[in-house]
Amino acid sequence: MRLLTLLIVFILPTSVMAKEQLNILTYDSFTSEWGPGPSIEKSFEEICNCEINWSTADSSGALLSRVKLTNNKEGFDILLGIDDSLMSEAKDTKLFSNHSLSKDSLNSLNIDWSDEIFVPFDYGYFSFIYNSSKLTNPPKSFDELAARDDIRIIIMDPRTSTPGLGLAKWIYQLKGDESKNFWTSLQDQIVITSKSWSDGYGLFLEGEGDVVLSYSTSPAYHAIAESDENYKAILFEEGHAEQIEVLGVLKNAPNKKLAEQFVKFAITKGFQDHIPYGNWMYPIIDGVEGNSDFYKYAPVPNSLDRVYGSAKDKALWINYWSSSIE
Amino acid sequence: MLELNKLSFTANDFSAEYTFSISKSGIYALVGESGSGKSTLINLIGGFLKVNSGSIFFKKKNLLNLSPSERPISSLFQNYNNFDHLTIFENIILGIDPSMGTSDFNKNKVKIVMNKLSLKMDMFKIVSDLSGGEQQRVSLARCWLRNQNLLLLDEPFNALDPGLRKDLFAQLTKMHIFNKLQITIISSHFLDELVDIIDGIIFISNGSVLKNKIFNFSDLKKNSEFKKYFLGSS
Amino acid sequence: MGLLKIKLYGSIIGPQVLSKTNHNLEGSLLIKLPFYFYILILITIGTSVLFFFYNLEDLSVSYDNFFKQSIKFTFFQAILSTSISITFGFILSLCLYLSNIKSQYITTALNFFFIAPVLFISYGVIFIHGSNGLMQKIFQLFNLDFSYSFFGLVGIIYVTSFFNIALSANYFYRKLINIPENYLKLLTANKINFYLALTKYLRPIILNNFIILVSMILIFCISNFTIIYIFANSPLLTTIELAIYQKISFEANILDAVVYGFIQSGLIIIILIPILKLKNNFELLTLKQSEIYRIYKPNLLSGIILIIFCFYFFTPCLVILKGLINFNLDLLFSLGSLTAFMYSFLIAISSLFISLLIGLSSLFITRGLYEKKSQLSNFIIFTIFIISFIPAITLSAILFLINSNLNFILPNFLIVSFVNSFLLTPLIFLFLLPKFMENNKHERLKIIQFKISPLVRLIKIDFLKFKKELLIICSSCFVLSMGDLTSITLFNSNSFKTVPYLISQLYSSYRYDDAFFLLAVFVIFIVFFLYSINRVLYKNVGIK
Repeated sequence: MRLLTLLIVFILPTSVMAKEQLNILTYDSFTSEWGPGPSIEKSFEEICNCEINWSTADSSGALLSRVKLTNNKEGFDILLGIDDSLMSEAKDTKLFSNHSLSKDSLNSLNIDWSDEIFVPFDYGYFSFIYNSSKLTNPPKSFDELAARDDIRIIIMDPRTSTPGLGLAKWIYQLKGDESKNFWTSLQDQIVITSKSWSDGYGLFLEGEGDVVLSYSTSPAYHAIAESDENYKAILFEEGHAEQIEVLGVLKNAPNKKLAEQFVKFAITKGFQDHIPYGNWMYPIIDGVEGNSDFYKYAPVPNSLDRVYGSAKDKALWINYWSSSIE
Repeated sequence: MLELNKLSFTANDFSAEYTFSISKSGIYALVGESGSGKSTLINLIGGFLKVNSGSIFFKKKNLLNLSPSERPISSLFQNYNNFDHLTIFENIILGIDPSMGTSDFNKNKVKIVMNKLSLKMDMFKIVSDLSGGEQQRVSLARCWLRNQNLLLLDEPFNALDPGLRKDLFAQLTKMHIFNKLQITIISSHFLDELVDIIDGIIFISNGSVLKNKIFNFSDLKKNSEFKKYFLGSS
Repeated sequence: MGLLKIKLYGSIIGPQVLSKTNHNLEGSLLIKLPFYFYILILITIGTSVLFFFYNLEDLSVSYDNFFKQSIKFTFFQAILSTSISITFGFILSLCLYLSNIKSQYITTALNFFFIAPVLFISYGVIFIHGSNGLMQKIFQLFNLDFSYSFFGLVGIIYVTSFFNIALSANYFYRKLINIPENYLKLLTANKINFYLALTKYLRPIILNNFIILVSMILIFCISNFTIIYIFANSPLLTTIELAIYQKISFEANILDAVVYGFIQSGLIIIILIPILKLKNNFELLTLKQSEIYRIYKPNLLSGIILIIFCFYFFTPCLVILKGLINFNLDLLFSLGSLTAFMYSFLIAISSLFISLLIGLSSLFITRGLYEKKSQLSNFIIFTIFIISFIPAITLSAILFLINSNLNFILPNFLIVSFVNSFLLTPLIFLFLLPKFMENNKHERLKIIQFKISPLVRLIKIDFLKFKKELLIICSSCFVLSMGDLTSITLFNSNSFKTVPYLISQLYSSYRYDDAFFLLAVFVIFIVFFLYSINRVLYKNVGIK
């Protein structure tokens, strides 16, 4: 009798406690131990009585393909980590449902946002990072960078990585029809074109290049987490292209309600607190903890206009890049 | 002429020590049970195995100081005597000219020795096209051409028919007379076929030469160990 | 009268009837089944792909410049690496042959370097030759300003050739060791120098069935994925497999991926056609017992070459030391790594099991055809090669799609095992083929005479014949499968990853210390495993 009671005492609660699962597909650095994933998971699980199940793809560029391939048969609820350049293509898949945020909630964000399907969770500006102890006279403009043959550049492949695509967009925004020539002048200095941002950045840290394509916020990581203030972003006079990272709910998500709850959570402090010191990007709401130190090491650069590229635009930017390689 | 004194050799589980001397030129049979050390003895004299201790003297010259190619020896084995993809000419001439040059001088020499061994075919035929007996005669022709003073044969004609074997033994004798070869040692199980042409028998048992001396057939037949080897236990 | 007729009749047809019933075919179908089943699965996959495409609205395939470039580069790097590997492998085998090192150690080392995990060697080479690597640190110590970039074609060829040089050196070395003793005696008695011996006298022995080695290395180079992924520094240095991976992972374009896969397979079939003309003399390449006929001695040049190769092969292994310094027990026993180890084992064992079944089955069929003097035996060999040649990425993607359409009825690890078996089956087949065919003429007569069934022949005769070879190839395939990183790249999820994948993830997250530690543990385990197998193999004094 006692044994039975004991069993019931243990089994019943666990069956009651069988939590709902939320399946999120994101890129690998988001859920790594030093990324924002674990802390966000903790914060959300406190309020939702659920468990987050992270799945990862190798890079941000691979996220969309993963759900496209199987029409989301794998049962993801949320896709987190594509950016504004891929939004149009994502909408074309018709795999995403509208978010349930009101216009008022969107107005509370510190960036202008009116999309009905995707919700932003952070933003940043593309920039080239260098080690100031090794490169003592960095270029001041994009044109100067292209002219400096002594500087070895590491970039990402625009077809497989969102920063790579961002660079292609950035050059097009600055140079328009002259993009191909500009790319050509840049090519002799590009020593590595990596598949993903993490591969390329890692190679830069190992000394394989003098500058690497990254975000203007990357130096903040080195300064704050590693107490290394040598890494700095090159700030160009011409201005920097913007990247907004978004998340979206999939139409055939198995846990729709939970997913919508998460989306609402994403624009609250509980989520955004972990963005500066977790994902090392700018948060989309104001008043997030520890902002002052962060902005000291990651000052916001001159920004160019926001561009939401369609699939055709994306093909054009990539074309300028690829035509400069042959 | 050929003196082996306590020539010893060991490898894995096998050890042997050979002592005997041959003072007269002639053909000598090397017999013994399988595994008793016949091939080892031939390989040691030929210089293909490393000796532990002891000596080999041939015509007062210490053979142990010489590499196999420097020793006045020609050898013939049970198989793999010819390079099958090469021609008869090339297999014969390599005995005296490793680069196998097709000069008239070389071709002539080969022609002569082929005739001596009744090899009537075109000398540029590939060896693998020949029959077993013809192939062994090609190797024998090479030995003939080399004209060395010591000829070692390690069960060379085992795979051939008795008739062919008989022919080849006859060729050997011819060679011996022609070249005034001084010593031929032939290891074989077919002692009864050899008896008529040999000048002595070296009987190996358990890694040593019986009584360290050369026997003739009638004396050897009296020995009990030899009787067991030759006639069986019954 | 009638009885007489029957008796007479019986005596005429008797022998023919006897000869038919003389063949005991019990168990023959069972043994042939795995191979037929395998071919059936391949055909099913192929047709299901066509069915899938039938439903697509847009059937246009893009052949952009990048794809054309990938074809060019695939073959360029394959031919370059193959040529380098065979040339240097041959030179290495000569130097090893001349040296005083025991043959057992040589073949063990070469075998280990061939099956070593690709990730291990890649990271090891970066550890030595990277811009932040050991060589640069040594140069800085001596104030030498000599920097070089290893990423790009140099790195790709350097690392690809690592494995292929080990393979070809092993192959040539075994050929040299198996030169008949009497030939060596002939060569030395006639004062034929080493160079002349190789070029003129021993050439057919060394080059016999050389085309199989060339084909194998070409296949490995063409299906190069992980090395290109790590070392390619430009979109122009891409192979077809990588292009397929991109089409699937970043564009979700299965049609292009499959068409590219077919193009790659098609190009290879053309290259492999010479295999159909193979001569059926499969010689054994065993390690000889006696090494007493050492006629060719090492010289200064061979010594120097050996030292250079030792540097080439052993320096990447230094990364293990770096890993051991960063001892991290928590990581080793964390859920992530334990899961990864478990899955690696599971996949290795399953893929080995599948490959063994199919390999033995196809060997059996090949021998049967050969004994009937049918030309089809060469065709089976050809089929096995082609199987290994279907791009792993394409196959993985197709299986993934089929599985998703069946609502994930098959567990992921089974699919990965199946894909891995494509690589292992040809290895098992080729390695066991000579031994399987050994003595088959004599055996066949006995088998017909004593009515031995195929099953009994396989278990009681064949297994004993190639016990040692089976152990060697199974252990090698086990290690190869554990270290594979190709199909897992498409199939991974948080709960399903293998040890190499985990290591590459740690490396990408800049957790270098953790990555190297796990790598060190992984490699040490593999070394220990191979060492134990070696002890079992060579516990008798004589080496067979």
